[in-house]
Amino acid sequence: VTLVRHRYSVWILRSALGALLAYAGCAKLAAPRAFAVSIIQLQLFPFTWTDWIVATLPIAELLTGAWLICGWRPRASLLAAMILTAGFMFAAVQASVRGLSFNCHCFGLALESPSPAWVAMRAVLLFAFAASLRAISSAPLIRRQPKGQAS
Amino acid sequence: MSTLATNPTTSGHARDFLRDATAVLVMFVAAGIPGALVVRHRHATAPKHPSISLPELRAYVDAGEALLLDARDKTVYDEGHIPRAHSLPIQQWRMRETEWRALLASHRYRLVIVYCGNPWCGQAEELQLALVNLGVTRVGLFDGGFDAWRAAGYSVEDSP
Repeated sequence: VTLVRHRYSVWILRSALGALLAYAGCAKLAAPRAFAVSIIQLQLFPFTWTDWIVATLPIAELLTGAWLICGWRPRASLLAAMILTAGFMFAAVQASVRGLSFNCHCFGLALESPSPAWVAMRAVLLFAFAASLRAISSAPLIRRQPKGQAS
Repeated sequence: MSTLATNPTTSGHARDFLRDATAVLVMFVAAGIPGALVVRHRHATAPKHPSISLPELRAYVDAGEALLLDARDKTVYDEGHIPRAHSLPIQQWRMRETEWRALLASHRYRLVIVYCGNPWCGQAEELQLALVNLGVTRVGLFDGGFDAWRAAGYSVEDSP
């Protein structure tokens, strides 16, 4: 019973993270130019990369979100989420440390743009959440037992 | 390496991780391909909003033929701006949208030019986007920004 409960809890948490990433991806796809401005303001990449990042990152977010929810190779999907959130964390923290003023349209234009420090903190929390879920998913209790072995 | 080779559990974990990493790599590549196609399509079909060079901007300012909008913070604007430019910090866009809708509806200029501090500040592009979304048909972007204008030695206005 504990095993089943843990699996469901992890699935719910993983799906929540997946839904969040999928929503963020859709929001960025809906407002690509605002997202492009955010990328430019971060001053992290050459100007010519902006279009490609704007077109690719939301799709990667959307695919990762769908992958987390569908549950195929869950630890791999959580690794993808960790890589994405680590990227967001690095971008937001460096912008915050450098004192850059940027409008994070991370969740589209519908929401007010929070301060860079808050964006950095949110990115750190998201990364920690994804990393914790992957650690929990790797625990023997959660991992699927090989056939023929008692759980 | 010797630990990986001799310890079956560690070796199994490493194999698992490699499989996971491969799946993630495939997913990111799968995301990159449509992204590249989208960029190609967007470049081919993007509406052409004029990019304004420094001499062109000078000509427009001298002739008073364009509505010039400064997207920087108001305090920075007050310290110095291009003559006849109006301050419209992008952060205030939402608060002042109605006021600006009315102004833009009544303006007699055929061209609106936006600028910010330098080519990397990003505020001008954001303001350009807002104006285009508002239905302004010709929004020119002065890429160089105020830094390029001042560096060229042109006259600068400051607010009292």
